[in-house]
Amino acid sequence: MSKTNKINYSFKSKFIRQEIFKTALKAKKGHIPPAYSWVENAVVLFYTKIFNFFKKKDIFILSKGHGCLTLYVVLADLGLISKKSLYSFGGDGSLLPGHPDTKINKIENCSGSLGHGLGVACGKSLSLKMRKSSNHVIVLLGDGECQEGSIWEACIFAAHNKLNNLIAIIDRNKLSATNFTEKIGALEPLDKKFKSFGWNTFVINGHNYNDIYKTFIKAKKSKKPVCIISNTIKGKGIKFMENKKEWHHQIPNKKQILTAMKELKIDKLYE
Amino acid sequence: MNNKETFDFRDKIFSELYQVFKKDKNCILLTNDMGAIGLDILKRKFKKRVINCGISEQNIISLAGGLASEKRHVFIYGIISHLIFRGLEQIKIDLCLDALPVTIIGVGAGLSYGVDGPTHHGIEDIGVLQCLPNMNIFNPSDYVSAIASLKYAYNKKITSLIRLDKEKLPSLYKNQKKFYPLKVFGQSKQLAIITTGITTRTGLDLIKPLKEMGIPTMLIDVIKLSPFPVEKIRKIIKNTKSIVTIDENMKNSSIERFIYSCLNNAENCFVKNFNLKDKFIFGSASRKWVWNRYNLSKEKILDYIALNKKKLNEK
Repeated sequence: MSKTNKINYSFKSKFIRQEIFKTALKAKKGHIPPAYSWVENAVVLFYTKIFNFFKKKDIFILSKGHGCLTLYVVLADLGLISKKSLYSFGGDGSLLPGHPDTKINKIENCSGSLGHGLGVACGKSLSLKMRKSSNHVIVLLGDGECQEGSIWEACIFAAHNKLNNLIAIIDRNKLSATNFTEKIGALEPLDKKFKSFGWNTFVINGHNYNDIYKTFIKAKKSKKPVCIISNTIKGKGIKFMENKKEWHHQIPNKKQILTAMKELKIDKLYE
Repeated sequence: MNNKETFDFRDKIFSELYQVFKKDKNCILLTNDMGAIGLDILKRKFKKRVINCGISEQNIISLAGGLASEKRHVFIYGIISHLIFRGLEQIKIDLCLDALPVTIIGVGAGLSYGVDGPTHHGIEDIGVLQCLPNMNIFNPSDYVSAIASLKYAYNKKITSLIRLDKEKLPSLYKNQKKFYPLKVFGQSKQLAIITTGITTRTGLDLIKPLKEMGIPTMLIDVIKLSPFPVEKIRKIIKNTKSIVTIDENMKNSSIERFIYSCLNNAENCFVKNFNLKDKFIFGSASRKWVWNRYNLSKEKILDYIALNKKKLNEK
């Protein structure tokens, strides 16, 4: 990646975080921290040419539905849903609920209940392979979601059926809804677990564009299904939210809003 | 119509699927390590499109959703109770929300697996699935209506469950081109017996002795249980004095749930429901044994009607 690109990506990440904050604050609801942890992944996924989503080529599945604010902002930024829809997020009759459904343009699956996305992604991968398509299916999983048994059923299926067009990114922010995953149901060593199931595994810094970019390129050439464990910080971008178990879907108070606005460089919120 | 040669529902269904797979390359079958002679034949011919996914019902349903959303018609084969209850949320979210073309071919309707214990009984699934919009439930009483259900589900590209009995049974119907959600035997304004699946045979066995008792009887075999054909049944049973339902399902999963909506004037109609109440059945429980215990056998039903003949005629 060139230096200019890097700056652009940082600019895009900043913009996405600002929009997520403003959208959630307007609705007075939404999961800000789990949306923030995958922003850099989203920038490389949707603003580079590695993959080609939205034109029925590569397919993106958001399995951790509570991270949807990032996707909504990206869709609005790319003109795939209207800005008006974005600003109506979480309101009565809004197109955009707290977890996405397939009535939204370009959304491939209904998410919100965890443990479904990888299985659905396997179905789409298998279909592409049967069609001898060279396109890929990328699924974003939450790490807490990996406590679901259905994830491991899909894991066995993908390896057994050699779905090398399937890339699972695990947003490894180490936090589930109420506590750290390792204090609820330890997942580590997560990379070794996927490897032992027959997947190619990469562990990356999920906030480093270079790391993400290079790994996506490698993942596309894999002969096996790929699991990218993307180490991230839940709430990345707002210091008082970062890596705090209290911040899963809480909305900040007045004082916290001012602090966050300063940090995110937001002048004005949506009315 | 009703000869003594018996047929295995599964083999007949797989033989039909063979023809469907030959014509349509977008058809895929997934199974949770279940076998059947007809399935082996299908697998031999269409190796890549018949996939044993292992014992992983949740994943199978999600997988089917993913495949169906890519314009495939997916058939899933397994034991009803396991597929429906293990995969229930997947059925709701990954299939029904988007009304995807997935046909679950479930074996083990009612007490087909009676001796295998309560984990294998298919007596509660209908009630659970009837709550889900976009889910179509077929409960055929013979292989002919099973094949008609399969063709209908495939041609209409709907989300569906086709419940198959495990017993080998004689056919009741002639081959038919069109699908009928219900079939009517005879005409009577005195007594209508409403059945589904295996109990249609009990109902048919009752017609002759009831006639001898002076009770002309009409039989309605309900093949499509969801959405329940309320209006169709309402028209057929209009002004009928008595209704008897016979169903090898738990009460909340049975015809009893809907029958009162089918009545125009409930107060003038005598209704008696024979089903499995709302209790799990523990232990080894053959169909014959349970039917006697829960008054579902032909003899018990006849005894009841004989005892209550006056009530039946009064209404």
